[in-house]
Amino acid sequence: MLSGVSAARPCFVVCEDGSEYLDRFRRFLDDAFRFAAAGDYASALAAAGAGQARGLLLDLDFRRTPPDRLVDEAGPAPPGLDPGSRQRLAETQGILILRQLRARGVTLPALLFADLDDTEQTKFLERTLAPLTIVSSRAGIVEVAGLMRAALGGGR
Amino acid sequence: MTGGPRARAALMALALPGLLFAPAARAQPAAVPDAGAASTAAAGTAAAPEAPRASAPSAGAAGASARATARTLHAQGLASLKAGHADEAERLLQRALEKDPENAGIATDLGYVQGKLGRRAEAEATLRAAIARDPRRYYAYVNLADLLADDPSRWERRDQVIAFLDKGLDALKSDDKGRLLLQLRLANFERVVGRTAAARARLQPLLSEAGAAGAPPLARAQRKRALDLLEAIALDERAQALEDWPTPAPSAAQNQDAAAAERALDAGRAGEAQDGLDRLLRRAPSWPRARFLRARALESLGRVDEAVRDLEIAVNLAPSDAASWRALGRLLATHGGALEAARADEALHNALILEPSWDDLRALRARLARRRAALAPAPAAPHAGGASEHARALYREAEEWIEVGDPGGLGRDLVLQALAESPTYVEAAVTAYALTGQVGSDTVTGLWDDGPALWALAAGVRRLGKEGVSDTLTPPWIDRAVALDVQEARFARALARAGAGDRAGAVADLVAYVAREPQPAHLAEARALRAGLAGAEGQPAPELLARIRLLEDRADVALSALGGTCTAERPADRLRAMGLVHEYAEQRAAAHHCYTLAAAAGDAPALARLARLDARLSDAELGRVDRAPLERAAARGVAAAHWALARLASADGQPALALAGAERALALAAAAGDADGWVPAARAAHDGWAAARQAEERSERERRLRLEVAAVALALLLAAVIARRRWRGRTVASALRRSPSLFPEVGRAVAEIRHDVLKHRAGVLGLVADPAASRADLCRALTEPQPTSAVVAGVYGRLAQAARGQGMTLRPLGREPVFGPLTRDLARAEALLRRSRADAGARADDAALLAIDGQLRGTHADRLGALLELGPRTRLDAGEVGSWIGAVEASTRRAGGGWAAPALMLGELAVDFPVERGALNAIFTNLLRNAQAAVAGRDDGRVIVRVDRERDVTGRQVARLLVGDSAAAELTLEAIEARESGRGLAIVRDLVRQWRGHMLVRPESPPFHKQVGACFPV
Repeated sequence: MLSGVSAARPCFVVCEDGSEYLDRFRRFLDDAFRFAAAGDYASALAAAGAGQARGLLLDLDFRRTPPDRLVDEAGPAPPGLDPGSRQRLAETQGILILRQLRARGVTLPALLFADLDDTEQTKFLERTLAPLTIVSSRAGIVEVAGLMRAALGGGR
Repeated sequence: MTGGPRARAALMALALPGLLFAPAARAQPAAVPDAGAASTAAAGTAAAPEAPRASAPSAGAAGASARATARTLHAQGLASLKAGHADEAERLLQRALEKDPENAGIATDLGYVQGKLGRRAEAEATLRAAIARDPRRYYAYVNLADLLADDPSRWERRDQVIAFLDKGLDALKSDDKGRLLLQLRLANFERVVGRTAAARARLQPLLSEAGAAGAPPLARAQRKRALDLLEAIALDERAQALEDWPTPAPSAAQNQDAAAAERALDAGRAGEAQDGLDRLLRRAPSWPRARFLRARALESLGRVDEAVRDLEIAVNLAPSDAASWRALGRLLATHGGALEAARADEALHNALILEPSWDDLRALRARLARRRAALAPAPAAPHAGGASEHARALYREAEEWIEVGDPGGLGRDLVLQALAESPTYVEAAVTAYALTGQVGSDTVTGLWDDGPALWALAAGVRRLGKEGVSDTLTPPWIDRAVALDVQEARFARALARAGAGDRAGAVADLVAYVAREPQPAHLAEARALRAGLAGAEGQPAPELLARIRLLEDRADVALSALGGTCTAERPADRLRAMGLVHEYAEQRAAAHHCYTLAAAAGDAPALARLARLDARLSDAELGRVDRAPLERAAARGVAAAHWALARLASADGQPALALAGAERALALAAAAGDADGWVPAARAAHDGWAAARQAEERSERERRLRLEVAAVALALLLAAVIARRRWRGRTVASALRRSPSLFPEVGRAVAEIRHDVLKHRAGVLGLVADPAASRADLCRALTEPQPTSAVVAGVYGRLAQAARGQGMTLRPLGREPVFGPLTRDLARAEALLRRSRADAGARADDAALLAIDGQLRGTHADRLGALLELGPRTRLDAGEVGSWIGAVEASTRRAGGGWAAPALMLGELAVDFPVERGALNAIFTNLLRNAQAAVAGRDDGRVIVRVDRERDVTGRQVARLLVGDSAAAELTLEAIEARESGRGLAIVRDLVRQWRGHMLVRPESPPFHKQVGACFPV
């Protein structure tokens, strides 16, 4: 569920395992955007499907998320994950959530905050999960805001 | 008898210590008037005129009246004399003698009064006239003897006077009393002219049991007089022998020469010292110190006899010089035989009396006691003049003629011929003088350079001269003989000069005479003459008196003479003399008391004595003495005082002070030529203390050195610690290169900083350019809940700890090239955001923050990314995997296990794994061993190794290493997770997790059953 969303400012769903992104964006970008929080795939799907969201902002790592709320390549992660599998899923959860959202028809533009350090992987993801922009940690909040506006089609 | 009491008093006075040095003239209260009234015993006068003599056969009434008038005048004269009016007495006696010119008694008394008035020539003439009138009148002789004993010319006329008085003795053969009195006077005269031996020889027979030849034994009183006189003679001799000669004071240059010679001596250059001293003694032959030093030099050169000679002269010149006595005694005792033992002992005795502290001399004297013997003096060498045989023949013939009265003057002619033949024929010249009253100029000229002959001529002429007549002929000859170094001439000239009132000249001659040889023939006479010339009177010095008594080994008598006991009322010099006696007698406490009293009275020599005595005390005794006198003595430069204080300092535990004191004492002793008994002990103690001091200083130096070394070491250690803290350690990049296994930690750290710091917090810095952005919000973003710089520091701290766990030390954060600058920029950004500034300042801060923002997202992000590029890459290809398989096979076979040869499937020719080689090898080995174990014992057991790379659904490239087997046994990740660490697949599990990979267990197509492996994101 989105809270405090109005039609005046475009709304982005912030999907992360904590609230760091949400807090930061609300503090510094609140005059231009609205933000809705999503802690896992299910809530992200719900927020994206609500119709008011104009974009997705995803973190990559969800290691703080309980295993039973993680998704894997096929869908919700099976119960009883071994630590190795749980780690692997958590480290790439942002991609897996977006992948599941795309699989469910969510086509909202998305910004994935990740230092992939792998150009091939970046290209691969931006191609297979489009519209998607990979945002590294080099991007400051001003640039992020620009990317968000660009994702909405308003240019940077 | 009027003269008896006064004469007795006079003679007794000679025995009094106080008159030891008094010349006879002063010791004797003039002479004896010839009045003969025993009842008039007032000093110096008689009371009654001479009784009327028997009338002369030719005397008439006028003569009787004149004699009566003379008697009256005589009586009046004596009365005036008694009343102390000598002038009036002389005038009355003169008138009486005019009235009765033949009255020898009046003449005798007139002569006495004239002598009393100082008119010696008249007195002598008057007395001689009286004797001529009545040769048996002993008063005249007695008065004349007394008068001449006080006469300045007595030295020159002594022979004539003695001969005259001897004639008087002959004249008094029948008068025992008068003869005895005259003998005493004659002996006294001999004493005052230095002929003490003759005087003693004259007196000794009087004291024998039988008395003098033909004379009755002496009455008790008479015997006393003789004994008193003998005592006075003995004291004279001793006192004179102990008096220093008034030698000229050395000049500054001479003192310097002596000092130089002494330094040469001390340095062992005796020859050089002797040369210098020879030159010095030619200029100052009477300087005792030069003699003493040359004796040292000569002794060092082995020339002992010459050394003894110099020392003998030195002690003659300066009998108070203890060091010379000591050196002489030691030299004679050491090098002399039995014949020198007596002299050695005498010298040591003198030295010991002067310095009782020289204990070593006591022992030396004891050894000498066995060797002492007397030695007769060698006879003097005869004297001869030069003459030809012809001249001698002529002279012998002349003597024959002269013996028979020289009729016709033939003897005279022959003598003159002999002189013409040999003008330097001294005997002939003397005889010619006797005959003609002249000495030829040829003779004088010929003898002018022959000192002994010239002196013989002068002596012969002088003997022939009339008594009392001034000699004008011989003085130039004597002067010349003295210039030619004739000892007898020098002594004769001294006598002549003394007689002429030339006191300084006489003393100079006497000094030269004594300095000329060790035992001059007229030494005693010279001493007596010197005493007379010195005008000594009154009491002798207390120390001298004590020395005399101590030389007799009569300490008690010496003390009695000095006054008995030491009390504060006594004069200081007397107290000192008494202390000296006590010290000589080894009565140290008494000596100490006396010296202390004298020193308290301001007597500096006593202070020195006290110090020297204290220096001889035992440690226990010394500890009880009063230090104040010692300190006063030390301030005066008394060496012994410094030594005593040094000992006290040592006892007080002040070694440095003791050493300094000993050094000072030894230096002072050396400078003074001091040979005190404490010097060897002081030298030994000094050496010991100096050695201890050196050891202490060495120890102190070593201790200081150790401290310095320790301090330096500590400083170096501190510097090393600081340097180590500052410069130690590796950069993260270096640590990664050295130990790739650190990479997982580095990766985690970089990821954390990227995510937590750069992305979420520092990423807002770009908003500073936005005026609408809240600066407080920006500040909070970077500083809350924890400053970003602190977060980075914490991350780096964990990384450093991980590195330490792998045996490496990372650099301090400030010096690490990636994390250090990052931390500083973050800290600066935090600081800039915290402060609130005016517009201009804010713009500058904003610019700075934007610059930092650029750095963070540029340089710093690049550096962090570069660290990730340093991760290990282990490339597996067929060869590598084959060799690993071979190693596992070998070890398995060695362990006796079965082996199923694995198949190998490589997805690519080579696959890079982001894992350190050793870790990957361990993973592979354990996977393969696990598979081999699974198929062990089965003939159809199969094993396969797969190495490939793929991209997963998230787009990540993943390198995989899988080992499959055909064993049917199930295996799950949960089972592997449950395994205990340290074995088999648990090792694989842990290593895979460490390298940020994950394990896989999945089915494998037949004939295999499952695959177990690991995959790592590249």
